[in-house]
Amino acid sequence: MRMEVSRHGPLGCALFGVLLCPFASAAPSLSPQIPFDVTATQPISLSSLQGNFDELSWQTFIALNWPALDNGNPNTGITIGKQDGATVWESWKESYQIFRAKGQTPLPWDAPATLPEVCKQLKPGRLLQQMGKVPDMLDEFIQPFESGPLVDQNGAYTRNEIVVNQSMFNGIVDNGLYSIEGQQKFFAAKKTNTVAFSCGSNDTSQVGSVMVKASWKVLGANDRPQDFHTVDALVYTPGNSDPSHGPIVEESCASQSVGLVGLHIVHKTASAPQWVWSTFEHVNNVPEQSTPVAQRKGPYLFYNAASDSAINQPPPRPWNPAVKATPSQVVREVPLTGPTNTLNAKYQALLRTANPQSVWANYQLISTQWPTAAPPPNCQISAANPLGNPAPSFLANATLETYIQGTTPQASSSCMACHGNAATHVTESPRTSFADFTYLLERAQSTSGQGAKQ
Amino acid sequence: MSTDLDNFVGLSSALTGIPIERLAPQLDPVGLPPLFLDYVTPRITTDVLNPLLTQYATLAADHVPPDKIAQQVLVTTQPTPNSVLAARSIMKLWFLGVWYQPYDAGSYKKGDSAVVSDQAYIYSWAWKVAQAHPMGYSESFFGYWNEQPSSLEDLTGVPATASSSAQQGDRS
Repeated sequence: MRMEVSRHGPLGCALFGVLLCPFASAAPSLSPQIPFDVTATQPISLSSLQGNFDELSWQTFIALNWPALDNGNPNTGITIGKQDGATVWESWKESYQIFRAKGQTPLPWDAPATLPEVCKQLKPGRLLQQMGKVPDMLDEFIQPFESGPLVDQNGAYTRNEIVVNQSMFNGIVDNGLYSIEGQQKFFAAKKTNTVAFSCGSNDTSQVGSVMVKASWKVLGANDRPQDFHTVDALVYTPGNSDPSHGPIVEESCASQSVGLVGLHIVHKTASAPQWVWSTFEHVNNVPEQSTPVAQRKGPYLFYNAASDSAINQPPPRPWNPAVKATPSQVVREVPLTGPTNTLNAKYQALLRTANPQSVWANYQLISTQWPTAAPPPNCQISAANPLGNPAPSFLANATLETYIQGTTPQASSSCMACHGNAATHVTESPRTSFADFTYLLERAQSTSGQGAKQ
Repeated sequence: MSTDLDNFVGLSSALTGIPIERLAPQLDPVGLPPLFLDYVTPRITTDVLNPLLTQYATLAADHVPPDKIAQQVLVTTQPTPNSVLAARSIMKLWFLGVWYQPYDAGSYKKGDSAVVSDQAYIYSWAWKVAQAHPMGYSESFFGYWNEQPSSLEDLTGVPATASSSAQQGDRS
């Protein structure tokens, strides 16, 4: 089990409307402890709670990116940013390690990741796996709703991954949700069985379930590695010989240095049973749309001031990661708020106190989406208000929801509104069920070896 | 001292029967009340709106129950006063997300209608009163169509009456 680390600062009270913390500290701190839940400060308002959840986001970002020991626990002997290295969340389980071919049981939490044969002869590194819910479909670089890949200024596709913490991993494994047959068995066992991952809680001092989705760019000759959190990666592209599943691609694996450009952190807590959706980006990713063109100096990672390409348009098909593509021309459609910019500056300055060159000071919070409706007890969700009135109503990461930014209902990115549609992979009506805001369960494959069919 | 927005929400609550805290939650990321007040003000004119808000504030200060306030606001004479026509349009705005221009006011012509915003459509109260959801937009989870809808009280904050309770019971 992961050890618990005592937290700096008060987090023993929380849950707005139920439990308030009258002495919450305004001073941020660098701590390896993942917050259990938000701490609400008086007087309560929409903006004050947004600030509280944004604080939660930054504290969680720092804890998850804390330097890790070989066993994945935070190394409390050093401070974040002293030097760049493996982080806590990078020891968590990637989706391909959970939803395996033929619905095989995941290997134990502490077991190392299995590598494709084509990668095994290369320098060891973090596998950026592209295998998705359907074999041969390359979905780890294609964004939600197949809206297209993101291409950096070097013409390379960004790569994505999704990992979960041990609490969520156990929730999947212990309930057999990693295979289609396991999901069927889970629902057949008891009529009232529903997917409900564990909640973080100040009352129980439990972190609860956390998911992380990361986007990485391959570092090229024009990139400054010292500006990024970097890892040595094995960038794996599975082969595809079926034209109906996309372009013909030869299986390949390349050892490459990649830099972190986007990070979603999703945390289920007692005050947010719809999960807290925090999203961070590299500060050099893109300009804001509201910034006059002449003032977009950059250089940016996904925008070229000298280019006249249409903004926020996916590259033309076919999408083949093995072929260099025209760089994406991306702007942020919804600007950061003033308070978020202020909070970013505060935490970036704090990170620089540990190391003026800290790579982590090069990341910024875009915003945090959280439910404004007070939740029912015991981390339940109100059927009458299942999304809990999320604030802000829309939230997008320019590297992960590039092409669905904006403020149009049903078309623009809203974490909760989208993930509220997530379902299990059991197809027999009526037991296809709500999957507690994660699409991961749709990646479950059949033990019969027929793969995952929609 | 209540603000125009407070009085507008209070008046709206009296007219619709929806509790104030549901129309204007303390934590409101959507913000329909100020949008609606800004929208209706030039359309019904301050000559009509201000007396309506004052009428509401006075009655509310006298602890007149909301349903009695609505009765007084909606009391009709012939010809129907513009204040009554405006109040009816405000009711329809909350329930349908649509503004029906009640009378000519400057460039706004009687009979004109418009959906005020996408959010006004989504969060209009007719859907919840019908225990349904807007066409093309549902926040309910997969398979909700196979489940009993939430109760009227859970959806609107308004307890079902004895007769409607019986009707609701028939569906369970």
